[in-house]
Amino acid sequence: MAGYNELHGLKVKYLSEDPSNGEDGQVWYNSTSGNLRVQGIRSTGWITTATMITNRNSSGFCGTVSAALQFGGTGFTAITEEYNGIGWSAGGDLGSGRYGIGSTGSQTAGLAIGGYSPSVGYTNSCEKYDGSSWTSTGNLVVGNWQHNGVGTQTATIAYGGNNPGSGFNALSESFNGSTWTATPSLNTGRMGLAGAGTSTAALGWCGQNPSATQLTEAWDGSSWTTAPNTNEPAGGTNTGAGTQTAALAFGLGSGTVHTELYDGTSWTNATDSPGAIAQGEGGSQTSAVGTQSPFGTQEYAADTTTTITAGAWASGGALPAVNNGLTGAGTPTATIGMGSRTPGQDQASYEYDGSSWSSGGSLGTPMGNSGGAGTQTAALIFGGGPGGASSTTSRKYDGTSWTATNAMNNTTGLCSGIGTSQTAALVNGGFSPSAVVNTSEEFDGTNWTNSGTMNQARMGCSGAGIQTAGVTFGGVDYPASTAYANSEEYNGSTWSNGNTMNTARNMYSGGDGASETAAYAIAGDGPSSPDSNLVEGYDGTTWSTRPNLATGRRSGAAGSGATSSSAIFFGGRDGGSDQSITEEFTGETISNNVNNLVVS
Amino acid sequence: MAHFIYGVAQNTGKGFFTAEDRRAFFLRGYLADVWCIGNNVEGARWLAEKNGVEKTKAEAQALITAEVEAAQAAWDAESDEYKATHLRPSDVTLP
Repeated sequence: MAGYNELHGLKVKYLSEDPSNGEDGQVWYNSTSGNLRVQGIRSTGWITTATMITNRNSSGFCGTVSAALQFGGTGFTAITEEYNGIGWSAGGDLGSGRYGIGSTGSQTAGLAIGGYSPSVGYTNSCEKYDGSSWTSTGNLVVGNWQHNGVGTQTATIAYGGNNPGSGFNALSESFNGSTWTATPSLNTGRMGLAGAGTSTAALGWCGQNPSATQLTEAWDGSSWTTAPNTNEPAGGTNTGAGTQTAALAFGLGSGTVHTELYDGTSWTNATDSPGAIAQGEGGSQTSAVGTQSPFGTQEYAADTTTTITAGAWASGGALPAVNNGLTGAGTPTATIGMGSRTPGQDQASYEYDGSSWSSGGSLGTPMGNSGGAGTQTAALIFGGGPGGASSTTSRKYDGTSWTATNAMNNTTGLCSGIGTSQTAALVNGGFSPSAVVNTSEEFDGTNWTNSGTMNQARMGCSGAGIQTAGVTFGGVDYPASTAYANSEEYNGSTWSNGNTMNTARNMYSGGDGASETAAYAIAGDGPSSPDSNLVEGYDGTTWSTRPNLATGRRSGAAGSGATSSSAIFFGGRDGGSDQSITEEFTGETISNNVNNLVVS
Repeated sequence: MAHFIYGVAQNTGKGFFTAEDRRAFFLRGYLADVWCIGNNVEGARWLAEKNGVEKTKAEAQALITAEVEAAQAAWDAESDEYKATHLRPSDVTLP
């Protein structure tokens, strides 16, 4: 006989708040908000976010998706970087640069265990991180590298690894926050293994001896016992997160993209990461983050009630002609590109509607390497000149034609332009025929007036924000031998030092942002990043990395109206070739998949 | 398995690569329309759909190097004033 549910269906629960563990498709009435609610299908998978500041592998890694720490790595670097879920920013350097470092802990309480560099060999030295700097702590009993560590900064177990004395070693040591003690060994020695868990309930898997293995072992605080093999082998470039009975293994397989889940009994395959992963961490089986040069940062999230769509740059409509040394203004869907260093283009302006470019009015005089401000239909171009000259020229646009304004007081080119309004713009820095300058001037729609001087004279700096709250960054000296990473903030009258970008470079016109707290430094050219595809974001306090452009270039242009959700970059020069490329940025979005049921 | 495949394809503008493409596979463009593409199903499909011509890493590197060397020669021939405000084009090495 059919039951009540079969005849009449399930009752809708009457709840005062949304359930924290609703099932996919579950419907309930929220009596507080008065809405009929539904739990959407939970999402699981990988997303790709920002790139590391310094590409490397075999680095130490600890923390969580929203607060990770990466340190050391190939090149025997001492560099430390901190991840906030959006991008990477610089942390304090290790006292001793090395790679193949064991690691555990958190972003504010990290532990670097051993490692190798030519200067220190297979070291037994360990360091603790407090959120800003590293200090030495107790040494390993045996110097070691390519081992794994799990636990916390004050309760750790490190195991496996390699050194000349032991070869592929089975060593296991525990740490109490000050002293390391030898503990019973693994059953099979190997290097480059990964793991998860705590100092008294750990899991170690894979690693090479001499080839990549699928071996898994479990640690109960007193001994290691054999556990089921992973489905795919991994050598020195796999990692993991979670606990002994709920582990996430990633970076496995020949392509180091394979992901597996462990439930305390067996391993099952999960979604591959879109790019290879060499090191990572996460804190749980359902949330992890990893990196590998040059793939950048990849985040894993399983069974989540929110869906994160990572920010990314996509190709936009091509400029009608190749251009370098142009400047820009406006929003990503209503942009103007103006002036150029490219022959035949130095009086052109182009308008972008979010899809394609069309010709705007002629500037009426040749301009290039200028500053820009305003909007697409009320733009301002100033400084620069034909062939990279400097000038006091200033012209404004009404959406149809360009007319001269009163001249600036100071000659400049390769200058920064700040402002989203044609009647409230700022020019700063640049190049006056024989030297870089630190001058700035404000424009009120009619006249240019001298304002405060920057702390650092430079050309090729760019900017974001508005006339009363702006930020300028990057640039170079003259001759262009020194690239700057520092930024300066303007409050409407004076300049003060801001924080430093992660990569020094000539920004040309690559600054975008309607606000100094949502600024972008896009592309450029520097000693460590020629024809760069790097993008950094500034939140008013810290510069951190963002997803890279697909195509690196210098001397391109951005708009002036970017927000945290969108930006644009166009033109530029790659090697010896001027470009017509446009790229459009869409910022990260987070959507809740618990929603109201509505009648459409 | 190699991490990357390499190919030559002309950037045709809007839609040539989408934000979804960038999330699905590694993509980096270089001189001479050379693209370095993450070696997964989505990356290989993208190159095919763009009528790209797959190259070996050595072939792709040679195309880039030829363009870089031409750019360096052009920079070397420029005036001292130009050189003072522009860095010499750097060598490019594919990952």
